[in-house]
This record gives sequence, C-alpha cells and structure tokens, in this order.
Amino acid sequence: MSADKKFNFAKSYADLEKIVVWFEKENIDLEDGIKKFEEGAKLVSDLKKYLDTMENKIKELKK
Amino acid sequence: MLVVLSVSQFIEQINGIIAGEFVVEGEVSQYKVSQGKWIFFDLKDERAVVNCFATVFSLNTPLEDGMKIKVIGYPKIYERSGRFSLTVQKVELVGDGSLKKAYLLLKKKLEEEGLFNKERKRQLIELPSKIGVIASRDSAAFGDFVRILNNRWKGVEIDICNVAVQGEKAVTEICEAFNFFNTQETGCEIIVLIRGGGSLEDLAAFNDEATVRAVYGSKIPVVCGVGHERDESLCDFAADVRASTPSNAAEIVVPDKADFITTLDFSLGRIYSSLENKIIKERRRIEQFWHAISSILESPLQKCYNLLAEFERLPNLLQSQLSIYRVFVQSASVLFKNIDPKNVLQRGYSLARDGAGKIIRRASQLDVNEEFVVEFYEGQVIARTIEKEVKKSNQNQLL
Repeated sequence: MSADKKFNFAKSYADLEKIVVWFEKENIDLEDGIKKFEEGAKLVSDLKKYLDTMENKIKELKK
Repeated sequence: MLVVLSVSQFIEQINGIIAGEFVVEGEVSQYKVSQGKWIFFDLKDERAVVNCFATVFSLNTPLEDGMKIKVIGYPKIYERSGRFSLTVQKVELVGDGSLKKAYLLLKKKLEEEGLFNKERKRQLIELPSKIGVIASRDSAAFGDFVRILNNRWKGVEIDICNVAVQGEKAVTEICEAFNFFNTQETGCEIIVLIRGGGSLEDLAAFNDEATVRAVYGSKIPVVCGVGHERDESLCDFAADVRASTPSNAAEIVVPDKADFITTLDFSLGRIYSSLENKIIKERRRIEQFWHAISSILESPLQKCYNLLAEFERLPNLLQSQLSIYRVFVQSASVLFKNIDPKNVLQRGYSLARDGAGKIIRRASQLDVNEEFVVEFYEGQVIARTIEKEVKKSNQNQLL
C-alpha cells in the first residue's frame, strides 16, 4: 500500500462516505448493496493500511 | 548688519536650520481627520504642545485622544499658514494602554468593514493532504503544532514558510508568505498561521492591519492559532477558523487517527447493518410471497382434502344405513311370517278358490253344483257345491 502512490486518501474516504449515504436510502437494491458493501469494506481496509504506513512530511519553502 | 529676508526666505532658512528626524514622545489630543486624507493632532506633555501632521496613508496605527505615542518625523514651518508642526512619518504606541486602545480602534474599524463576518468563513477540508504553515521555524509554537499533528495523523505534507513573528520584519514577511501560498501552485489546502504567546506588543504583527487583510484576502482557508488560550488577535477574527493555541490548530486541521479508525469501523458497521436489514426484509418478503402462493394453492387442495374426508366417511354412513335396513328387514320378515297364508293353513285352515283362482270369502259367491278348489296346508282337492247356506257368520264379520 505504501508503495502505491496512486492511492488517494481523501478520494477513498469520500467514496466510502458516498457508500454510507447510499445505504441510508429507503430502498436499496440487494445485489448493488452486496457489491457496495464489498467496496466499502475494501476502502476501510485500504484507508487503515494507509494510515499505518504513512508518515507526515515537512518541507521548508525557499522564498 | 542683519540681512533683511522676505517671509518666504525666512521660513526657508528656518526650515533648513531645523531639518532632521526627531523622535518625540507625548500624548495625543485634538485628533481629527480632514477630507478623509489629512490627519491633524497635538502631541503634548505637562508643559508643552506641538502640532502634528500626517496623511491617512502614512499612518500605520489608528490613534485616539489620550494615547501615549512616539512620533518619528521631521519639524517644519508651513509657508502658507506659518504654522509649525511635526510631519509624522511613523507612529509607535507607548505602553499597553495605547496598544490596547489602538487594537480596539482597529478591531472596530475592520469589524465595521466586514472582515470578521461569520458568513464569509469557509469550511475546512476534512482530510487535507497538504498544509501550508506560516510560522517561525524554530519556535515552540511550530514544534507543538508538528508534535500534535504527528500524534494525531499520518500522511500529510507540510510546507513551512519561515517568517519573523515579531519585530520590524514580521508584518512584511507574514504578508509575503500569504502572497506566496496564494500565488504559487503549492497545492496547500489550508494555511495555518501560528505563533506562541506574548504581550500585546509581542503580538503586534498579528494585530497589524496589513496582516489582518492578508488573512482576510487569502483564497486558501486560514486557521489562526496565536498565543495562549486567552489571547486574541485580529488575525484570529479574520481567519476562517480560530484556534486557541498552535496545538489546537493541529487538532483542528487533522482528525485523530484513533477516532478516524473508529469512524471507519462505525461506517462499515452501519452499511453492514443496513445490508443485513435489507436481507431480513427480503427474506420476510419472500416468506410472505410463499405464504400467499401456498395459500392460493392450498385452497383447492383443501377442498380436495375435505371431499376426500367426506368420501371416507361414506362407508360408515352406508354401514349404519345398512344396519337400519337390516333391522327393518328382520322385523318385516317376522311380520311377513305371521301373515303368510301358508302358516294359517298349517294351523288347520283351508282356502277355497273359484275357477279363476280368486279366493272365495262368502258362500253366496258359489252356485250350487259349481266346482271350486279347496287348498290345504298340503295339497288341494277339487270340490262341488251340493248345498249352500247363505248366512253371515261372526267370524266373517270380524274379517
């Protein structure tokens, strides 16, 4: 995961939020629901992995 | 012999003599602004007073009567009015009282102008990937900010713009830093302006109009964390979010990792239970369907079952009917036995029939010399009437 530079944390989190909102609907489609649940579970696991492997980077700007 | 001078020459000479920069400390009185451009006030002490003149653009600090200030300026006699005054280049506030007054004056002015309006405060991005920090790199404030940030969150980039946070250069450097973040494509999603605590004088740069306007004008949302819990600066009010301390600024810009993970698990739990609910609902729906279908199917089936049961009861019904018949037949046979003429003949009676076989009940039915048959229990004879005696017998009557 740490090697995967393409992982966009904010986007993944936004995607997860979208899924949560989708599940708030009155009538969800079961098949889509299962698909989305799997997506959600993967996003959660990716987000956690990301947080475990990342560090904060500090850079001083040269003016 | 003294040279006679014209008034203009005199004033010119005097102005030449007194030319130079002076720093004069005193109290402001008779402060007034003319035509929105020119500022006139008196600077005085217990014994003396001097007129001061400034332009609105050159005066960096708002003034009010009673404030103690140092004026840096040069003395001059104005040709037109002949008035002597100190032309102000710069003003420095003296003592906390003056600073406080200037602070309140500027606060009021900027407030009226709408720089602190709540409506213009922007929401911060929830999960920033890059943060710009304007601070003194070696300050405790920046150290605290980074420490708290690292404790809370991982994966964020911080661009620090090292600036002086007090002294002469502070305002310019802070304004330049804002300009830098807003014009260069640094990709910073939040700007954090931080400084540790200090006196009102130490925090002067954060109460300077230029700095406050730089905060206000930033296209990137600004979090301002200056001083201690109780300190306030005008930059705080102009910022989108006010942090009480530099550490608090870190708490504001990033979530806590543990909390975040709890939120993630909670989100997953929520979508899981939503899915589970859906499955339960679907199962119930299927059960209801099945119930409906089976009841539709069951109703003709039930009819068949009922019919079958009725049918199965039939033999019993017949059986009982049969026994009724049997009893009837038995009693009937007894009855029949009793009235069988054969039985009567056995008892010794005989039966007379005419030629046509009809039973003869009365002697009148026979003519004399007429043949008739007499039937016994066993056998019969043909007889002829010799004589007849027609008389109603009691027995006949009984029959």
